[in-house]
Amino acid sequence: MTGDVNFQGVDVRFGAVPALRALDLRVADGEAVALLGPSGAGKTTLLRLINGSVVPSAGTVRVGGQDLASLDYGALRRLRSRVAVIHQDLRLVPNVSVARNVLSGGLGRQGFWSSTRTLLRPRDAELEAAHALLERVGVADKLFHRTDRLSGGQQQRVAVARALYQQPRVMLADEPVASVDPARAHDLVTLLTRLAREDGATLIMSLHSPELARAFFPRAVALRDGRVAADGPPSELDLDALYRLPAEADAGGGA
Amino acid sequence: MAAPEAAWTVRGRGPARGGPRGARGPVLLLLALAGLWAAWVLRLDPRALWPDAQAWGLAGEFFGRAFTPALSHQASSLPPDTPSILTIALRAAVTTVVFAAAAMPPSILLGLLLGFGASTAWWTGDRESGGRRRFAWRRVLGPVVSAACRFVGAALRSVHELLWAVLFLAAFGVTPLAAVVALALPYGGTLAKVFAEMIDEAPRDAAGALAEAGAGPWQVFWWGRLPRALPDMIAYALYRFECALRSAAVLGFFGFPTLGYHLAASFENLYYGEVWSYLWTLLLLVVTVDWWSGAVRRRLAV
Repeated sequence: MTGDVNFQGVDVRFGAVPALRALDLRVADGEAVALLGPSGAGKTTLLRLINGSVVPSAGTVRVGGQDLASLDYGALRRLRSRVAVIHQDLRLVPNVSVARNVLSGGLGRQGFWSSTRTLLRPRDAELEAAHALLERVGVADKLFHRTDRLSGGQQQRVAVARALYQQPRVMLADEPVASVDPARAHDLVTLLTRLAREDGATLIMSLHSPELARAFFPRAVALRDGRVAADGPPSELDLDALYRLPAEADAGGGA
Repeated sequence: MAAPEAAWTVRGRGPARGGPRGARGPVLLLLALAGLWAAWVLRLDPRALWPDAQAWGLAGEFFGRAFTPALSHQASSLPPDTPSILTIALRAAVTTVVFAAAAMPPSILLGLLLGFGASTAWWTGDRESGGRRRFAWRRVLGPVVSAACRFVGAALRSVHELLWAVLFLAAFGVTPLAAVVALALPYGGTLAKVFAEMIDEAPRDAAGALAEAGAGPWQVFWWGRLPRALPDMIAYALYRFECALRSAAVLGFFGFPTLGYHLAASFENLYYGEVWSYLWTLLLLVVTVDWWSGAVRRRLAV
């Protein structure tokens, strides 16, 4: 599977409320894209479309060349197993070991019995792989620690290791640094962009801060009111305009 | 003046919350009236709580021995090889623990089976995935199996362990098996109900993340839902073990060799000192188990 993502004329409505309107967007395999825009612009919805968690009201979403609407349950699971999501609130199981949390990233490529074996007694090879990933994210010595005994920053790295254990072709990060202090935010974005580059995975990260986009991403896509408002190298875009008061920006942009 | 006004505004804003909240007063009044009516039907007379002199004497005699439990037999003539009161109490305490401990594994097994079945998590496990294309059989069978498990669980616990004991005494006689089965059935039913609720109320964030990463519904259940409910389930099972100790003790009234057996015998002979020896032993037992289960729970604490 390749990691290219392609939206064609995608509409998403939640009831009567439009979240995305006639969205066209193409992200190439291995590309790193920062997704910007004010709250409610549709960033999360766009990310959720990519793993089939949200179904478009109109238009098509293709990931790795496959139209998500054409996939049956099993095929969707296989696709999801290669699309990793890193959430701001981590969504780890707090009261089990770090190893179990990392290994849970492999469920999508395991059958039920094989995964039950892993749950009861992880295989040596699995533990070695988990350890190697923890080493890559910088918490190597925590494999058998209870997850909630780790600091917030360390838990975030465990969540990243779980995502990497999926051997992802696409990595989606939904506001990973929204509630993180600036120094840690910088470290985490550095880490995620480096990991995605090393593995050749596509990375789409929604961000609140144009500074981080400028510092780390060759391309930024800015959403506003469910549409692509700007798309290109962050240094060439007037990203700060996105966050000005709506009345101000609407006067300039229009619809 | 401002505060009540604000309260009304909040109440008015959310009809879903305001509705039951507004009805709380009349419901409480209705419950109070129902209680009074029931007391009237039963002809409850609070004055009867103030007993006559003879009853006072009996009560005084009984509670007077609370702090002077018998350390040796109160009967005057006993066969020479009769064990001491303390030996009997200790043996009965151990037997009580053995009965309770024997009843817990089948209870827990029953509770897990019925509890998993009754929970909705295993058949709506993939709802987190935002999704579509669920297994059809799961959606059809799920509610049926769930309702069946709920019904069996409710039936088992609607009969008290003492009534089950009467039933199994008739079937098996005074055998340990009768006592263990009598305890295991209602306890299994109770555990099933509580386990199911704990599984269904466990946080779903991790489960949702696993479904998004391609995990199947069963995997989501075992890896994402169950681990989050497990500490509560273990703590509750430990608490039920404590309850099982009391129940096992009371089963002694039917002739099983637990603390209740000796308690009943001494009580019939008006040997209140001995009664208190056994009661203190039971208390000590329950307190010990409570302390131990507390220690286990602290270790499991999230």
